[in-house]
Amino acid sequence: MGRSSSLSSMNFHERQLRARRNTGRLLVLYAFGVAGIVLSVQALASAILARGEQLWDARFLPYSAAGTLAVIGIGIVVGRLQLTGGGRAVAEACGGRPVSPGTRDPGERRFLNVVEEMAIASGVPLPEMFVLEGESGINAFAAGHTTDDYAVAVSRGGLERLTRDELQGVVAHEFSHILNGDMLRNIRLTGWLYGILGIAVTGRILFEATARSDDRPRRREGNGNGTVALLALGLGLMAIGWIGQIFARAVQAAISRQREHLADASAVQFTRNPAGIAGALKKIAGHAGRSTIAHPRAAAFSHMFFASAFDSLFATHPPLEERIRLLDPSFNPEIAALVGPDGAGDAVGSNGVAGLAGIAGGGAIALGRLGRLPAGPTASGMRATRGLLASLPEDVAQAVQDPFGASAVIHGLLLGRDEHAREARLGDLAAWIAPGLDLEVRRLLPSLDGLPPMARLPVAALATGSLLHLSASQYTEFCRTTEALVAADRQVDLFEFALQRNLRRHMAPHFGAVPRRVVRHHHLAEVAADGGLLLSCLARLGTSSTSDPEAAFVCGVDHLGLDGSEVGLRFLALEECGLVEVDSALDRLAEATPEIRRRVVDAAAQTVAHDGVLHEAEAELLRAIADGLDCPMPPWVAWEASMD
Amino acid sequence: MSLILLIVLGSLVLVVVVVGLYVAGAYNALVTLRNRLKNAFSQIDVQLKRRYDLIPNLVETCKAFMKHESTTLEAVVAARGAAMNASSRVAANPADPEAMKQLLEAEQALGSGLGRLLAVAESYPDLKANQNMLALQEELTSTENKVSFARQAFNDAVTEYNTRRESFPTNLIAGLFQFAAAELWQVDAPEERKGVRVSF
Repeated sequence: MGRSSSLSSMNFHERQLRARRNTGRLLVLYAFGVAGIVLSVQALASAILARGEQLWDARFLPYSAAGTLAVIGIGIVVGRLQLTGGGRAVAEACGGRPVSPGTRDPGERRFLNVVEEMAIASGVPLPEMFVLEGESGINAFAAGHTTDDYAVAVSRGGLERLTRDELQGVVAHEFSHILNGDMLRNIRLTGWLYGILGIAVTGRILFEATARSDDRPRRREGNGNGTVALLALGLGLMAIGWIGQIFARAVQAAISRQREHLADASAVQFTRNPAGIAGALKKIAGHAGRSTIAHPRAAAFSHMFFASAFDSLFATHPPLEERIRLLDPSFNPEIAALVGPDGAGDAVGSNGVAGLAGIAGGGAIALGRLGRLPAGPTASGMRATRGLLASLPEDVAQAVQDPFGASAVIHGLLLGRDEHAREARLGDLAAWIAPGLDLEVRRLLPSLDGLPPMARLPVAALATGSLLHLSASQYTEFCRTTEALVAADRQVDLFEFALQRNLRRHMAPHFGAVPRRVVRHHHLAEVAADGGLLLSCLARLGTSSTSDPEAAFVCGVDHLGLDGSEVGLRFLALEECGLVEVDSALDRLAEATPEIRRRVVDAAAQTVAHDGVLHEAEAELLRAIADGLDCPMPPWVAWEASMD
Repeated sequence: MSLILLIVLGSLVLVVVVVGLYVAGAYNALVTLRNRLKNAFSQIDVQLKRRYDLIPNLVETCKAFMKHESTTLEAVVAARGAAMNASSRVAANPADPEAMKQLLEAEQALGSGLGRLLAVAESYPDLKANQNMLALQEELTSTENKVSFARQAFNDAVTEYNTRRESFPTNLIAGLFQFAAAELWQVDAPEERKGVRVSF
């Protein structure tokens, strides 16, 4: 029925797909708007040139249309250029200051912890975290193209006035924007708004420039008509631009308000705690500074915020009172359904994971034949993640809080288990320009070795958050060393390989513009060979429990939904499963449609757990591969917690 | 009023818009880079603070064993105080070259003070074997490595900002809006670069 029930039955990709369809509709609407503007400008130009005698002169159409489209185009490009830096660019434009991972400010520390828990419980990389210093209003936003370049920012007022539960509600709301695919839509909207704004700006410049030049004393006679025409043109363009803005903002606001309700509902679904987010909204309603953001450049991003950043006719957010009312379970049955009677039947049951039936005990989950893997964070998963992070060894937890220690942690995780090979590689590390890095790795190794498999990816995720604070040259060094560590490995360790690959993929957008990933493959057959290679490797190397690798491979291929013989999928020999091959196969698979990627991940799950049981280490390998294919999966602890 | 005039004026407006956008973009880029170097300093600051916190412990531990070294100990305490003051001034504005120079001097003084203290500690076998002392020593070395790592990132950020500031035509905008050159955190003495590492 309602919004929330359809929401809870959708996974990450379905939500993103729907968001993309909505964007398509929006684009059509926008095209109509642009056409209207072109026609208005044409009418304006005709009227001025014909001295008001006629409103349409077809001779001018090519010029007026070309001029208008050029201005809109420049506006869109400018708007987009502001956002090429991803979420960081938005946060910096709004005056955000990145939160240092080793911060001692209790408010910032809490914000880091809440975001880390949420990101890890969702299986997405850590965002860059910002504080809007000097903003006493309570507000927050998430921005970025994808989860690789996104940022989450909160105002200083939010840090100081919200309790942990309320802050968690706000962060969950922002994460639902991320998981619902709202970020990309927001970025597009910003570009389009800039395009229309360009018309108004051009009109204003034309008007002011003409008016100013007219003030000059030495004016030649006979130019008066031209001046009046230019002034009229300028005014007319301003009017058209502002009317266009009003139209665009009205559309934007309507869509945005709907997405805000969805995000509020999702926040409750993630945290199971409507009191948290409702409390935050109540504080905004009762707080004199409310949610206002003072920074002048924040205006262009108003639709990205948690609550209205500006008082305006075209609110991008629903009224606070309405949002608070809708979050009250005693009033809203949908929210009551999301909260559940006593925490039982957590989102796992409703998240389409029908196949995951019960725990086989001892860190393993039975995987039904048609089972789907959990998608999206759940309240119990979040609690379990929090517990896991709290139980990390002290030295590791300390180390991931600064870039130096975080590099050491990642290097330590990639060192492999072979004592002899380790020594040689630690020697290589000593040659790195950072003095003492090898010593730091040595110091951390015992704790890293003692980590349970399920803690390795979360620790790597925490480390990545700090590694975003490397400088460009340090990042280059970091890439070189991690690459060398993995390459030095004679034996292919798929987990280490996938880990290193993902780290770099998540970090690369931060350290320089990376080409947008585009969807090139729309049919599974185009990437079937790559899928086959991946499944072969998984069957050969990825599992500990499989006694019959070929059967595991066949089982995986069956789940790809292809006839293996038809497209020539064969079980590859161990020698054919090299890192280089896997690397390029993953690159190609990453360019397939989300549905294909999801199918490959499902098939990979079947291969890895051919014996019908998914073990802890296998699940983490699977998660590492799924992450590489941009199919985020919650961590193992969340799966386990959901089974309880 | 001819069409040509309209086109010429239109292009003029376009040029003005493009130049205006360029100036705004260059200005914003300078602000962003300056903010990044400030943020890079906060990475150093976290580690410096950690080290300033360690020093009183170190001094206390040494005091228990050292009988006639009060001047050395006091010098370290005084140098720590001076360095803390200087670092908080830099933290307020890391792009301020004067404050940075003062911090460099204060840090140098603190470094040599610590070096002297640790050298003196050599002659106290009980102190050398003390578990607390060993742990502090280890912590100090590790923090020192982190400081130098963060310092590298900071210097990279400063270089990026300074390079952008000096490149044409951004230098015109930098001059117009008074973006001053920032100071690198340079460590001259080669033994300093390795941090305080005294082996017992």
